[in-house]
Amino acid sequence: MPTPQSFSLTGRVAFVPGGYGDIGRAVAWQLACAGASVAVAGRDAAKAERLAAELTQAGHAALGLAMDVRDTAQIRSGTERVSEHFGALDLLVNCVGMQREERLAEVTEAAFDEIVQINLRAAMFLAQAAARWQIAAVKAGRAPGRQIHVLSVRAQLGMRDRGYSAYCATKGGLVMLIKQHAVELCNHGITVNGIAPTVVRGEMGAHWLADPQVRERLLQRIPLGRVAEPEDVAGPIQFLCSDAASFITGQVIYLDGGITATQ
Amino acid sequence: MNIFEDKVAVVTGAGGTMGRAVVDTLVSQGCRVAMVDVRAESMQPAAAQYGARVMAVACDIRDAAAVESAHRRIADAWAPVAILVNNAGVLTNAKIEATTSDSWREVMSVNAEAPMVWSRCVVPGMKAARWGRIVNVGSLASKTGGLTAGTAYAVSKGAITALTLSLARELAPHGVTANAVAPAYVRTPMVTEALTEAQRQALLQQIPVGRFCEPEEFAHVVAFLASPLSGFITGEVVDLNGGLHMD
Repeated sequence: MPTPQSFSLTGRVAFVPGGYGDIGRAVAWQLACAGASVAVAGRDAAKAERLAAELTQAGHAALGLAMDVRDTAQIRSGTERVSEHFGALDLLVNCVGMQREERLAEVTEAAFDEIVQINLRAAMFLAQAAARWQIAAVKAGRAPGRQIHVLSVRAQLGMRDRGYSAYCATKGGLVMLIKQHAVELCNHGITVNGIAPTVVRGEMGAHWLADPQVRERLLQRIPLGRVAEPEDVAGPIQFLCSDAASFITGQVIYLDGGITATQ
Repeated sequence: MNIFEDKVAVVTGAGGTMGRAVVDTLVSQGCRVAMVDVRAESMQPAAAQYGARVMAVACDIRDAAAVESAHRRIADAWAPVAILVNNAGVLTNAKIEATTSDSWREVMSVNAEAPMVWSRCVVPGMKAARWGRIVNVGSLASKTGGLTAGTAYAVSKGAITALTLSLARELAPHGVTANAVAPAYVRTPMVTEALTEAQRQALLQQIPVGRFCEPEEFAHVVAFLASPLSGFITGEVVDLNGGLHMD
């Protein structure tokens, strides 16, 4: 998809944890095609390296690395490796996320804690690790970085008749994390924003689309009449990563075909 | 670069600082831009610079018949309008006790009614094409009641938010998106340059990024919302305020 020149990311280095999932993969390609060098990270080293190899084969600068975001030491070593490999870490695009559905009466401590750890705690320490490199880079005269987190419309909307306590709470918590980090980093010119999609076609959204009745109900609720493709999420992330969006910070853009606006 | 593939865009208030920035950006990305402004002379520099890529249409948008006529002229000369940027606006800093009924009507006419009339004009063509982008210009004032902006202005921008939601809901099944940009303190003669130095300094201390918004930054958000990158976003108000307000 051609994009305006003002949204170019030439010379920037992007770090995409969760980068080989459906959304992450589209983000990695979008940022690479916009000119960024891209590091893809996730628990499965082989998947990360495979995507990096595909990007490299297409002529982009890419790196794949193993990183378990439940381990803060791995987050720190991951950001260090990206910075050493590319000489910078300008753009953090946090595509990490998970869901385990449990109704209120059945929520277990183990599942709740796991979701908090992946969706919220990891975001905190990814942001911290990236910010350390980004702040140092600004002090050294490099252009300010960007942090983008992928949320969900469930950051704002509860889910009727389903077990979404941990998911909604952690995505809602991300909204406040974004606001706080935005004000803490604004003095350095670093912006922090979020993208909140509805169901995106891919592995995580597959259970919504597999059942024809559920799919039909879902499509009826989306004014644009379709679910999001991973590329729909990647485009706005490119925009928020670019210099063109340098006056936008602390915001969450809902990318949902009009669901939130029409609730 | 021809991102917009010669699509026809209408930009109201095109002769002002923000409007001109939008015209520059859309033309540079491949749009043909119909510039609309009540002050014909304000559009001359862009008309001279861009030649056939732009069309200057002098129009008092408070007059619905004039808007309808201007729209016909644009569509007849070029093609149905694909992108509408409702940028024109008047600012009053009058608070409630200083707000006259005449000034209220004037502000509502330009800031709220005219975007509705322009939308009404372009929607049939967008629906027929099954593609369209309406980008309205809201304001931080609609969320805060106006820090320095007046009562009528804040209310008119609240109407823009509601208009955006209504258009989004109604037009989504037809492939048309409607979104708004809500800027705060864009560096223009109408906004920041009209403030006292004390107000400017006080505001700069409140804005986390420590500066005012550049007109080009505003134009970039408009271009984003009009571009293929934002195809799944509708009914959204994108806040452009340097962190001044986060909701």
